[in-house]
Amino acid sequence: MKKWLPTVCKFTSANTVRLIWALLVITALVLGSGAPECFGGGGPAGP
Amino acid sequence: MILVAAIVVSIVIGLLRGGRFNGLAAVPLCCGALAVVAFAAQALFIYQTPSRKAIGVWGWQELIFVGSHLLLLVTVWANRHLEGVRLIGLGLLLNLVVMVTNGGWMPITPEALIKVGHAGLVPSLASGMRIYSSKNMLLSPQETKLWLLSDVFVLPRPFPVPSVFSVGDVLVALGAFFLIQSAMLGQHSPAGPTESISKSKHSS
Repeated sequence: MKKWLPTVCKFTSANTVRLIWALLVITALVLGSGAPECFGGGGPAGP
Repeated sequence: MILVAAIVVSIVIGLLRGGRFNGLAAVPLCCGALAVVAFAAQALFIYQTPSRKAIGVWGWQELIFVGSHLLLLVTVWANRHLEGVRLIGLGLLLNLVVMVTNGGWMPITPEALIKVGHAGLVPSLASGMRIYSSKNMLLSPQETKLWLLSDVFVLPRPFPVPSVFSVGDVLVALGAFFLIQSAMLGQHSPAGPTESISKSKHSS
């Protein structure tokens, strides 16, 4: 991230980029670690 | 979805407590790309059609799926100094243990599916069959190893998002809450990216 962050920051606020990145990482960590079954979608799979 | 709700609620509570949304930008997260890659891999695999096989037999999908959790464990270890991350790690470990002992996916009972209003789904699924677009597989409590650690808590309707979740999920949600609260209430100091930006500006 440190390599491409300066380039991205030329086009947008550095703080916004850091905020989006932090939200993305926290969301990925939480959703990746948990395993709940929520409905609204889903369905049978497989043969 | 219920974990997304936990993140949103944590942010709203942080704002109500006088925290700053921008405080999240100052969280010094390490190895964040690993978590993103791991989650992307999981998202890819839960939408794969599972192949027919006996209960407990591991295929390449299960191996890569469990491997993605190991990447998450590395991320947790690298960020263990942050508030709430150890709790997320403990929840992740509990979920991982029960998934590994039951063939790579999180067991859910037919009774739990019925309680959240998906009784129609049960007849179409054989025991041991994975539920499409989730990390779950259908197993009876008798067939489930470490049943207490599997998805046993049910939030039925009228809850807006009927859900079934595990002890590990509760710990993950609590960990996320503490992480977000500490970030929004300014318990982290800016580091890393800020330094790299200022360095690049000075060098150019």
